[in-house]
Amino acid sequence: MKASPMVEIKNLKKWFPMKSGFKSKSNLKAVDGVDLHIYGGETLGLVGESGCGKTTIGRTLIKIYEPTDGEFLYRGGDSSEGGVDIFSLSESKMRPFRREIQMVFQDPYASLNPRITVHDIISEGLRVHSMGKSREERKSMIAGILEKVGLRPEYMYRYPHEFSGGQRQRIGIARSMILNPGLVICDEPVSALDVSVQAQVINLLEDLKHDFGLTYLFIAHDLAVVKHICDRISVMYLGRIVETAETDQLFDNPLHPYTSGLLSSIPVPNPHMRKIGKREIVKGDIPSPVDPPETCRFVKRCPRAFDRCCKESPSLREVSDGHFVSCFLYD
Amino acid sequence: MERILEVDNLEISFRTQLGKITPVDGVSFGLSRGETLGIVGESGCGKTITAFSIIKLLPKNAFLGDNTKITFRGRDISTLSSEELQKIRGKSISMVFQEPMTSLNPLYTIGWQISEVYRLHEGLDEDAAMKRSIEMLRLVGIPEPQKRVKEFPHQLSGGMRQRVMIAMALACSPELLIADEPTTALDVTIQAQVLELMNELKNKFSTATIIITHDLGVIAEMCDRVLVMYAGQIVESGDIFDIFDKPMHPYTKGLINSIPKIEISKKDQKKLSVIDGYVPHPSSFPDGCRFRPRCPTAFEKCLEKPPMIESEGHHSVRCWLFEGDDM
Repeated sequence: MKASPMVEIKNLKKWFPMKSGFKSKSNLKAVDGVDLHIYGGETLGLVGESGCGKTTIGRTLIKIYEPTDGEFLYRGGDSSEGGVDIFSLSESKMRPFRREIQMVFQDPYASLNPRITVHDIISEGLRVHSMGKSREERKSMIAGILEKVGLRPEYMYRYPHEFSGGQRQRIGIARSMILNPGLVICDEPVSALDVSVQAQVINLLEDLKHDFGLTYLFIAHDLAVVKHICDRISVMYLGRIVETAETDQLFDNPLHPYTSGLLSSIPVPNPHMRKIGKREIVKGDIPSPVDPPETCRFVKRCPRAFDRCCKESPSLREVSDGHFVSCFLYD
Repeated sequence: MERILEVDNLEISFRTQLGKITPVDGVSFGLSRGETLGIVGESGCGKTITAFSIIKLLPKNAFLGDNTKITFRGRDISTLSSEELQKIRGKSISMVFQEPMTSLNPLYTIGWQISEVYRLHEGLDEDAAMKRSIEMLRLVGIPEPQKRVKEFPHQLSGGMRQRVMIAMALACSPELLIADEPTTALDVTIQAQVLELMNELKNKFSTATIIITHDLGVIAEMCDRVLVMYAGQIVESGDIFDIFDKPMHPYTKGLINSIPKIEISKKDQKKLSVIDGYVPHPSSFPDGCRFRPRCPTAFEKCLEKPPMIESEGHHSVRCWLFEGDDM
């Protein structure tokens, strides 16, 4: 793989302050010290269960949420050699990167404005970023992108409610892709869709990546989908990355006890490979991210925890080529 | 094994502003003691209302067809009065719903809600009912059940709530348990816990179970037999291994091929095959075979309604491709 990554995220933190009556102020540490890197042209999967902070990362990267701490170095587009720290930019300096970094949202019902037509939804980005010289040119660009995502161009004057879930997700994808982005953050793009439609959208995302030379950060909880689409995977647990590795490496040789428990939990759609009664069960529930203790975050559910795990917090280390894990078992 | 449920020619229609629509028709199946049946299909295929109709949990504007007959342990459900139904619901037949968040009453403690089952169906007094509830909570793996019975649903996590739902459903050792997407709202590690629990309890009580889900993984893990539904009809039914090893209906094949294969390594993964088009709405089901517009192997004959054709080993399929294969 290429030597220097296109995206480097260092020590990203997003805390949400909580009001709690007379008690001293507490923080919901949704993301708490995350390091990620994404190479140009790859798909990095970010997986974890609900509440682990994966969606917060996606939203913080495009500054829907203001980051609490951290750096986001981006080397795409026409920026200088060393890359720019997106988080340090003013809103006006950030403008070109708003085009460069796009997002596809999870809920195809909530993410499209019901009161404007598909044409207006897609053309808004073009106008904001002064793409396309005239109305006519923009219209033909929209027709082109609709065709590319598998919708009929004449649908552009329809409203979102006239489309099914899968078609809406295609509209959301068209809205992002028309701006010619470098990095696309896909936040659970297929989890609201039925299986047969899910496959259509996965194939579409793969085709677009290939045709436009895109880089994806693919946030999802469905590990079968992630395995299919991603080159590398980062596993999150309670605001931190616990393991990052190439896809096959992660599935064949999971190191972190949480990763192996997670993989063992997945029901396999093959009755010959039934695991019921013999799987490795991750006991207990996900603890609260409000003021988590400075220990390993997984310690309470971990079958292999020892003294040190209750006292210190492990950091993400590279244990073999490209395989990072945050666990004292490998220290 | 003793046959406990027989659903014959189920047809469910709704009176709507647009006229009568019939989202489920011609559905027949049976269930024996201790057996687990999976109903799989995409949203809108009618799988949930099919299961709800067994205990008459349908909206007011819904009605069953004239030829529909649902027999539970030899009694025709449609002839029962609402008092008689009340006695069956929660005792002989009980349900686990998809959303543990909305199917528990937020105003009562979970102990009260579980012990209600014992008070109503077994006539126990409050103390005895509460004792049984604590036992039941322990059985479904809730830690410190004496403390938990005094808590309200909002104090529990999603997985815990689903365990409470299961405890409530199994309180009177029902003969039939209907679980509607029991793990869909749960995270995968919690889903694994709940599936293990359901399996354990099923083996213990030999409850007949119907699991409704869109997740072929859950089906493969849990079920003995499967019904595949599409657009309000059963398109294929058979033994779990037959369905996965030799699917016959083009829809079943398409469904199995369109899910990413987690058991295959990344480098060997192929492009997903897709089923073109979208699931039709009940007000505009196509004539003839309902899958025809999306079917890669459709031919002239498919303009006529295909019958259910049985092949060997109770493996049936609703598709003209298998006409003449009758055995």
